[in-house]
Amino acid sequence: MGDRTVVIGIGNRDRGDDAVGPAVLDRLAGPLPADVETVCTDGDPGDVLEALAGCRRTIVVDAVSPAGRPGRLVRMTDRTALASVRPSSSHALGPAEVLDLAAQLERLPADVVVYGIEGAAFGPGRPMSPAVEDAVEVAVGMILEEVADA
Amino acid sequence: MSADRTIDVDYLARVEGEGSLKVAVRDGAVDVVEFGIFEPPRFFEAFLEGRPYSDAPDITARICGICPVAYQMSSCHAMERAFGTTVGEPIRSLRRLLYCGEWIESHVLHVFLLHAPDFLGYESAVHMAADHREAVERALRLKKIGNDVVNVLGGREIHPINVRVGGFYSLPPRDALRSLPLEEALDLARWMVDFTATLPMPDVEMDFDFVSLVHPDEYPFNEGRIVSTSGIDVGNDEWDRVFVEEHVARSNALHARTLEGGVYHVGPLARYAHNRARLSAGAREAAERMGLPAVVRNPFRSIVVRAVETLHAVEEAMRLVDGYDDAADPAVVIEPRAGTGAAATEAPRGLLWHRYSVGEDGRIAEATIVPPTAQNQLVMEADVRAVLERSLHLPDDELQWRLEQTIRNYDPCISCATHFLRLEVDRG
Repeated sequence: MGDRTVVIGIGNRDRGDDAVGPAVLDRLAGPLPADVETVCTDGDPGDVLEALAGCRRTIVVDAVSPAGRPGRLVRMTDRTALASVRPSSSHALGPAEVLDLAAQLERLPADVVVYGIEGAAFGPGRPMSPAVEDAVEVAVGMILEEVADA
Repeated sequence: MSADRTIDVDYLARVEGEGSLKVAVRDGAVDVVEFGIFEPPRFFEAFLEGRPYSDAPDITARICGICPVAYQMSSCHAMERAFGTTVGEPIRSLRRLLYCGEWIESHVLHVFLLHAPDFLGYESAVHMAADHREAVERALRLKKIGNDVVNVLGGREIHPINVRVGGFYSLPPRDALRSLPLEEALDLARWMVDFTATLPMPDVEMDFDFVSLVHPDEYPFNEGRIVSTSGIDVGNDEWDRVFVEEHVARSNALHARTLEGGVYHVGPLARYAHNRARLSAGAREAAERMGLPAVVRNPFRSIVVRAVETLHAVEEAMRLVDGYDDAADPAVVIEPRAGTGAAATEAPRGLLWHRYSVGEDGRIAEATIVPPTAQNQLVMEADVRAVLERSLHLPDDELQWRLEQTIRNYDPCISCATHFLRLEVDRG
């Protein structure tokens, strides 16, 4: 494993609260230390696996399924916690599966942190919900502290 | 096992109800098969109206994370037809090369990470990777080369940003194309065909009405007439003269039929049926070696045809790179005028039709987008029904598995963005 830290923002800017990954990266762009890389992706497994190559630590940010508490922010260091929400897809792999695949292929760094923000609405062209926008700001602060402590 | 069974195959994103397949069995016979999907292009059609013509490639590229090139290509061609513009070389070849990259990355993703696990009895690619690590590693490498082809032409973003109506913003240097590892991709694509040909294949034959583009000289990406097995042969501006879209209560997507009410099939099997003779030499030879008939009517064998098309895309990319000369203008001059233009191109999962009307001010007055998955909804229902009728003896878990595999034959773009599949069984 190398020394890189990479923050991976997963999501779609055009699908309401699914924009949390890209939105967090937008807000990190200025204050993030220069040696921390960012990768914005729609979740393409190739993109994620490539981003993880030679990486010591990764922080993954994605939206989480609605469960009645929009904007709820969860920070997970135990990847198996993702398994409870693991879906399988007709047409792509979910983030939990991509991380599992990375582990299976021995490409997953030792230090993995997943930030999930619960969304409320994912309609095409919608803006992010206010509660989700607030959670994005909180997540940005936490990630900046996290990389500063490294 | 009771004679009455209800099987729901729900495609759920982080949004409830993005799509579903509902199957009901009554008295031991298939009663209901209903496939419903959420279809974002409808939103994008409305979003495009009133915007400058030049926004169409960038906005429509956002409809699908897997096939943005297809949306860009159909929109560019349609706009250029509205303005009476034609592009020459090297733009025409570079657009084909961009499409080669998208076919490679999309087909490889689907074949290895989504569909092959169905055939081999694995729950997912993660489980498959435990036993077939080298195959998954090779697939990821081939997919990466497909991504590289798209990136060198389109720019390294989620969606290609270098495409515009009339051509490109800038042309890649000749050396950048020559440095693409296409020889390596060729070996991997040959291996991919061999790999798919070893998969255990369910035995189903369907009487498909195949619809695809047909070009006299090329296996189609960007150009050709719209041709069907049943005798349709029309220009790109006549799609809505021979096909109709209808609202069905269970789905927010429109269902497409032929004007006579027929169900039709778009995608790799359709392209192959109409264009086999125009595959690259290596792909044609591989199809023969694998014993693929001239027309493949077993929908499960689409996985082999996708591999053959991947090999074709690699060989075509090599030919295009060899002939590329970067000493040219990156785009033709566009002179917008009031008019209507339509274009169909071949997205990895089938025919994608766009039509735009543009006003004197160069703004979009009307947009119509017909994606391949919407066109395949009815044939997917027909396949599910046929597979169910042959498989009712299977226990629920195996039946679900087979139905999921059947739907995946079409590599469906359920929501083109965020979509998960969940299976539930409720015995009636």
